[in-house]
Amino acid sequence: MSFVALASRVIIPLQIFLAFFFLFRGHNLPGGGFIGGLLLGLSLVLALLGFGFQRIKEAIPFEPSTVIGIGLFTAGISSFFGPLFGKGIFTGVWGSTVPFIGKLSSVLLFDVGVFLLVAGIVMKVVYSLMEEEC
Amino acid sequence: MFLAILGVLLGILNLYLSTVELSITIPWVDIMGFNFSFTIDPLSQLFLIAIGSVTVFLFPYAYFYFKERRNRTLGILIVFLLGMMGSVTSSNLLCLFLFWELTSLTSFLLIGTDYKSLVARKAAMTALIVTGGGGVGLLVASISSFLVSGSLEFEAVAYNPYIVSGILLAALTKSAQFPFQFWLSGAMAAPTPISAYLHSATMVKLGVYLLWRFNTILPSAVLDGLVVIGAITLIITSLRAFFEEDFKKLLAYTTTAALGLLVSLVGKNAFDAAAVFFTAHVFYKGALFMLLGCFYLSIKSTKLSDIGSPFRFGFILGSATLISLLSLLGVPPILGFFGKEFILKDILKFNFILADYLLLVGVLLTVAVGFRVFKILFLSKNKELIRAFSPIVFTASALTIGSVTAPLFSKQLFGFGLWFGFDYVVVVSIAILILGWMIGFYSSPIFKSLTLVLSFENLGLFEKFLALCKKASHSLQPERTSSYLRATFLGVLIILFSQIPLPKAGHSLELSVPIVLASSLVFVGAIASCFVTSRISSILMVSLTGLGVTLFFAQFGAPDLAITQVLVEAVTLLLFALFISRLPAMRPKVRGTKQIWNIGIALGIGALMTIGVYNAGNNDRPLQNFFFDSAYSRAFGENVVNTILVDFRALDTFGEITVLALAALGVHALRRSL
Amino acid sequence: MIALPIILPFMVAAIFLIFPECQRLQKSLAFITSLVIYALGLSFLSDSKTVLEVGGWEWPFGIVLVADGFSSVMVSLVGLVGIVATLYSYGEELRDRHYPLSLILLGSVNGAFLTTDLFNLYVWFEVMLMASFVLLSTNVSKDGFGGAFKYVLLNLVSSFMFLSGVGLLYGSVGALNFSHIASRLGSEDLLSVYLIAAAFMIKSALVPFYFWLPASYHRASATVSALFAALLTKVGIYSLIRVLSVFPEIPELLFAIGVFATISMLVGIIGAFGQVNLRRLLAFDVVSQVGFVLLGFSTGGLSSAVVFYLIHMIVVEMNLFLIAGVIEKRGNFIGSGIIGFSFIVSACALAGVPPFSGFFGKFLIIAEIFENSWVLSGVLALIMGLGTLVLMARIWDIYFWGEKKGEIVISSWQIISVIILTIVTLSLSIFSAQVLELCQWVIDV
Repeated sequence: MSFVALASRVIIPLQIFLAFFFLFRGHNLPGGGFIGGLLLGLSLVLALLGFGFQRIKEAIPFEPSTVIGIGLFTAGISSFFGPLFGKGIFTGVWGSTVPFIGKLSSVLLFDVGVFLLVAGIVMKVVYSLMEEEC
Repeated sequence: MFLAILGVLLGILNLYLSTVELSITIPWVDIMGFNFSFTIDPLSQLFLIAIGSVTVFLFPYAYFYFKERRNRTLGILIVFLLGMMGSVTSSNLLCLFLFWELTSLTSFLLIGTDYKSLVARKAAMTALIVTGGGGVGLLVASISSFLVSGSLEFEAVAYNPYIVSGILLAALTKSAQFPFQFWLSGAMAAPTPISAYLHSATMVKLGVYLLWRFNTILPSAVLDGLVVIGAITLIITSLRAFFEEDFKKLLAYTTTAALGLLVSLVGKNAFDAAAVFFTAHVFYKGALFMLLGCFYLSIKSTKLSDIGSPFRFGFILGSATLISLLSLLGVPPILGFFGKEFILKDILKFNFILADYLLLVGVLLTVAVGFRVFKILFLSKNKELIRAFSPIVFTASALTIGSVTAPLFSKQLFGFGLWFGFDYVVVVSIAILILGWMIGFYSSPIFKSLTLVLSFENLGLFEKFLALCKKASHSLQPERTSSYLRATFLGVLIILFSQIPLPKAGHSLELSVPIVLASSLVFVGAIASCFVTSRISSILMVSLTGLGVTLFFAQFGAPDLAITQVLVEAVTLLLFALFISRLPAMRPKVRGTKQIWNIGIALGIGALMTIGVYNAGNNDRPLQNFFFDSAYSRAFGENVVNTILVDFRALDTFGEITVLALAALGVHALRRSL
Repeated sequence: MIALPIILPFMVAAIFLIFPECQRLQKSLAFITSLVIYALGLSFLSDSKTVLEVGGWEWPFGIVLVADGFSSVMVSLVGLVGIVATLYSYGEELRDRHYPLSLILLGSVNGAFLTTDLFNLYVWFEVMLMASFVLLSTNVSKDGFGGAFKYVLLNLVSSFMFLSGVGLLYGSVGALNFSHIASRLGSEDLLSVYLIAAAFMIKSALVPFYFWLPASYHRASATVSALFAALLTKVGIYSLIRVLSVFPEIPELLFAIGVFATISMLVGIIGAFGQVNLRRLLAFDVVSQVGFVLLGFSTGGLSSAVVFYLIHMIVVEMNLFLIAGVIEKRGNFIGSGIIGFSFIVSACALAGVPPFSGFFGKFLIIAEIFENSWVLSGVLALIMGLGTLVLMARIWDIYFWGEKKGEIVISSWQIISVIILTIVTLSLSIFSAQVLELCQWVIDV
């Protein structure tokens, strides 16, 4: 148990970083919202294994459904940028380039939404499976 | 109260309408030729008189008769009345169909008025099935007319085997002719006012009306057939009536007999006779039913022996019963006598030998029945006086007036005088009266069992049908899921069977090491997962296929997909590993013939898929090219897969992530419930 | 703006997921959303069809949503269904997350109606499947889960067929938009088309793919089964009709559909007679109705009668399920005039009794069937009509004339929703001529 906890402390931040890394680089290189979200989810699983369900549950203030909902909402909102500028929904609206993140756009926002949602569902599934134990 | 008055007013309206001739058309749905067309001609007028007279007296009668749920019943009666009025005045097939079905439906509701009685409910169902089935006949006729001539107006209806069959079906079921006569006696489970109205005076006459109306398009063979059917019905039901102890049922049988007689008359084109007899029947049968209802209210029984002498209920009731009975027998100078006269006159022409003899016998039988009733009732020892309810007595008896006074107004009513002199017909009718008296008074029970068989009631056909369906339903909805899947895939195979494609020539199979490796992984994993016995192994085998798919993705240039697949496999495996202890044991496999079916179907589908994929060649791919070209230039991304996911086909992705979200919610929900 | 009927329910559902507590807020928001969908649907019914290229990607490379006559009518019906279902649900004890799930269901159905892209259609089918599955599985008992499982399993087969077909087709013609595919179809692509058609048939609960319907409809709560009855099979029917109308005609496929449809009519009626559970009985009846309308399509093509009958099916079947939800606790309802009257109206409409809505569709479709010389099917259709009538009488017999089994509480919300649908049914009936004209126009557009 303690080895896992130790390893977790090292690996988890790495995983979280990788998750965001893959998210932002997805548009030009392999990566994207799905992969990032899964990585984030995996980090959560590791955390649960390392520190136990109760501690993690207390540490993270969100309900999984909330995360899922926010993810879905974000993805949906990103579609409205097009109509704002008089075009159809889900039309990409592109802005300026930001270091590390890349070009800001509604498409990126959509990917962020996907990211959150995928992480959220891993969270939800794992939570509901682990809930019984306690 | 209001409803009863409304009913009476409508009845008067009927009587009024019977004196006019008009024709109106209100177009409704043009595409179908469905218009509200109404025409009042002499035939309609005749029926309107009948409906009107009965209605005027029946609604007050019903008002006094019913104690509970009166308004509802009266309401349905009014709707029924509208149905009747519409039916006899329609001049458009679909318009007629509408009102026809309306009468069937309201009849269903009305027969079941006493819904606590199982008998009544069953009778209502039976009646609906039979008359509804007949309604289908009318529908067929309408559709045929529509297809042939595009018009549904009566004038446009011409001879056509479908139209004729449809009309026959509708008419014979509605008027309870052989072989559909069984529902009418069951319908006697309805309260007396209902029986009086629907099943003696109005609704059942609709079949006769229909035949009368379309008489011109029926070929002579059919007309002759009608005479025979009517005669058979007449005889069967009269015989049945002969041995019936319950007055209400007896009246039902004699009504069916009378209908048979009417059908025969229409078949013989003897319209004068039909008109007179029809009117006579309406008056005396309607009255008898209503009087019976009065008796029932007092003594709570409808058995002939219980009723005893009608005079013991009071002078009015007694005389009304007597007069109506005399009308049934055909004693002058009551209307019934003239009815018989006309009928006999037509029969004695002997155009159609066999049927005419049958009819003669039938008429004799009805008279015999009448005398039997007379004997049991009026000559009974039961003379104990009973008070009957007052208002209802008057309404019940009122109809009898018609029996008495109609002959006086015959010219206005029918357009012809009724008395045509003292000739041989009168002699025959007197002879029949005497013969009938003898039979009625001194009958023997020999024929009893024979007639019981002939009327085939209570076969419980509907119950048998239901039981059959229950069994069928069980096989139609099997419990095992595998049966569903088998049927489904089998169905798919059947469809696809016609399209078994042949492997196209000219397609090459690119085989290289990675591809072979990937395919074998998938193959082995899939097959193995069917045969392993523990959960863990089967999960691992499925993961093996996932691994194979990953290799495919990597090989064909979609690293995103490969990475995603690997990650998903990792997560899934982890989750399974965490909770493996909780999973139940594996279920035993299916053996035997089922397994052969399963394998066969699986192989079939697999083969089809393989061929399909093989044939999907390397044609030019506009969409693919577009994506490649536009990914960087217009979507600002070098990763084509990602741009497709989040830009080109963002709507798809949006939907798919919702699916993911739902799946997670589903896991949670299932976890909670189970 | 065409996409709003799709996106809006999803967004509102997302909000519900974020804030799951306030039930009252959810109820009113759900109602408003349905109202908006209804209004949008009606507004699309203008003279020209509205086209939206999603993401600005032009046809035929992007996903194109089209609101023409047919799809607009369908969308407004979805709105109506949503409105009524929400009202009805106010009177019911609902399971968790009922509102977000049903909103997603509505949104995906709209998606299926509005899209002209084959893969996009597949996505909406998936969403529908998942949403309905979760609706079936929340607060479910062990037996209930069996039904949900059968449901999802059979529909997954449908997804498999669909996806394979789309994949094969994409590989062969390289296109995903309906009309684009139609112009590039070759004779070797028939397999894919058949696969896709099979998927639609499963979704429509056509024999022999109907098993999921009687297994699941009665397991859900009353509101949910009404939603299912109104929408699920109709999406299958719509897609089948839509896609086959755009693609070049394939006589063998139409023939197969006709045969299956005829068998469906019979199976549905016979199955229904063998049931005692009211909603299961109605579920079987839905199967026979589906058979009837698809028989009409396979013989006569996309006619005004078919569209009319589809509209009528949605309204009347939903109403019957709503009423069933009220009366199935076996009370003696002869006393409740409104429910009785509504039942009579809906039952007669379903059975095709004039002057109610079902009659017009029935008459025209049967006329078409006979005109195209499918005599046996026509006769069976007539028998099915009679059977439905007797079936309805049987329901009346058992539930309105039968014995009382305990006290029943009917919420006034439920009555209101039933009344609304009854009024719609009556309007369809009275104004049938105009509605038929509308349907004719709908097809021409």
